[in-house]
Amino acid sequence: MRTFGKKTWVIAEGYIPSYGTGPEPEFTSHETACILNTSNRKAQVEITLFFTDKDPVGPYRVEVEAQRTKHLRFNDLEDPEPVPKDTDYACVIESDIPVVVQHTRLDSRQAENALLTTIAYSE
Amino acid sequence: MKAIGKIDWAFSAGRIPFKNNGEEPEFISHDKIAVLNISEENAIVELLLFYEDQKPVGTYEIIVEAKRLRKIRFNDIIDPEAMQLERNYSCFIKTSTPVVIQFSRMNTGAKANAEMSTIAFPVEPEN
Amino acid sequence: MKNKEWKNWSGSLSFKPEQVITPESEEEIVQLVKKARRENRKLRVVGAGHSSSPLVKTKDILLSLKHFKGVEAPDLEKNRATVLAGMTVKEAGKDLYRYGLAMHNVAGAIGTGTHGTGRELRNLSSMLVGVRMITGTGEVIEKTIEEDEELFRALRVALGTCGIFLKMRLQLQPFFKLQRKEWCVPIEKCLENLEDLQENNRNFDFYWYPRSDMAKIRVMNKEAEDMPEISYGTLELEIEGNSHEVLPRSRHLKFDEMEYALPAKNAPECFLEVRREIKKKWRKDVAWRVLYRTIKADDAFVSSMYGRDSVTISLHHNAGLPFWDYFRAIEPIFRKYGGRPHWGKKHSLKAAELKELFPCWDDFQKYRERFDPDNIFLSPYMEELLILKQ
Repeated sequence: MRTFGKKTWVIAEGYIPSYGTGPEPEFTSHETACILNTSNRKAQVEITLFFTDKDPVGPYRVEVEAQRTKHLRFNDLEDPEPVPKDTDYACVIESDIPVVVQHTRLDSRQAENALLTTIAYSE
Repeated sequence: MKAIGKIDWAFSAGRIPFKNNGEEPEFISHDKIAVLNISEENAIVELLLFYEDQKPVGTYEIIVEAKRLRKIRFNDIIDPEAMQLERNYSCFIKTSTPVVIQFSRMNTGAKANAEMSTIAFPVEPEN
Repeated sequence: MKNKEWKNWSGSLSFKPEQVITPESEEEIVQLVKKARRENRKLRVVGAGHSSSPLVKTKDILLSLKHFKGVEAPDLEKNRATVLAGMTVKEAGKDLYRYGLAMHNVAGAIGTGTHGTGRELRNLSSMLVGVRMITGTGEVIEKTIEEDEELFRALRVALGTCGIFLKMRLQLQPFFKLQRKEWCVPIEKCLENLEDLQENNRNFDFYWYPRSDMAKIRVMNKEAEDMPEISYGTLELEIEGNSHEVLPRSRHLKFDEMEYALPAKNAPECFLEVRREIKKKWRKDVAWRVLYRTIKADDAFVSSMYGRDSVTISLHHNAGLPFWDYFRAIEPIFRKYGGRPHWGKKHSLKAAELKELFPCWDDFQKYRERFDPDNIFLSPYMEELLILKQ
């Protein structure tokens, strides 16, 4: 399908709580960047994390195949290093071809869940 | 009124929750889009669904009449095929006339409700 | 396991490719091309399956680009847009309309030199001003006409032998409305007024009905004031609307077709002879109308309108009925008047005869050989069409 989206995305409001209530994996506290590649070419994506009082970490490398989506849990990222929990962070997502990125968080630290989502900032 | 909105939209964090608490149909967990058509003509809205591990499915076709709002639950769409719950998906939406689209999820699987919403990504024609 | 049969739209072309592949990515296609080269296999790309000549026929690999659909980068200043190669003309028309753009005419696909009607209008291929394609060596190239004008004289009508098109950049127009009217008239009146009708209307063509000897005149213009007054016949249709909806499209009833493009100056005489022959021998079995259309000259090397303003005359027969006897009987008349066959429709010509009809035949071959040195896009039928037997 046709290509659209942007090559650069930013999520400024990142935070993975270290605990949650409710059954895994559905109700584990988590943060996800959902990357949609509508085009007919594989997307090579690089993610760099930024913190309030330490140097940026990255790049984390991810591929999204043609005409596929990838729901990437930040909890699952490991290489170069796991994302610290209970820590404010932001990320810049760069793709070699345009993609669409949406950011969601499920916070289940209390019995009642909180959900948030936004289309990430792009240019 | 001048038409407001765009003709191409997308959101990528789709996943219809499975568990519900509370009375149906009001409190059934769901994903939905609210489509606002301010223009003078009916909008033919087509959805194309993308998955992590399968070719895209669609298009699902829905009409939103001129000067009307229509909310479409992803749980309910069946033609060409019903969607699986608890399965990651993304969605591309193309319309015959400019509209504004907002995506939201209600998740009543825990004791209290959780709801989230975002404006979908509007595609600039040049990209 | 038996190979599944593939049939074209009318049903008159069927074959069993060994593999039908619907790739989702460019990388996949590159791998397929490289593999075909290594294993000496043939690769043909199929579109909507409207062509009834065996252009897509292969025992080997048939490629469908149905995952390559969409419109990108519309430019409303230059009136251009990129159309992904897997779109049907109908789909492209609808999608382009959303961005406020329109093709000048609607009737078929680019690679076979298909066209509508209108003395000042060229075929659809002439819209091609840029391409992204995979060559027969698995190379991805992207070019615009501004970068290489001569290349596009080859690529505009290339029959899928220069590369697998992924994206096409098209020169379009802002979307427009059309008025359309049709009249039923005696054929003699139509022929009397032919010059006038062609000259003064944006789109003009006529159908001739073998069984009644009547004609249907079809005229389209942008403005109501430009529509002619026709006193010698009865008005049968009058509509107006968006171009992609008003321009004629394929009908539901299936048919097989032969079409030849004549130099415009020879066409009226050719038509008269065709009509005489059909009335004498063929209207016993054939009822389907004969279509007469006008197209402006273009400069694509193997376009059937190359170098001369043309008129196409098309014979139709219901799908399923024996059409070859009919088509073969009329074909010599077309050839006598200098006709060139439509690549995507029925004809009986091979390379030796075709070479004589196209002054730039060798120029086309030069490009074809450059992009596909191992002939992976040349199925046996394509070889018959393009390669002279020694």
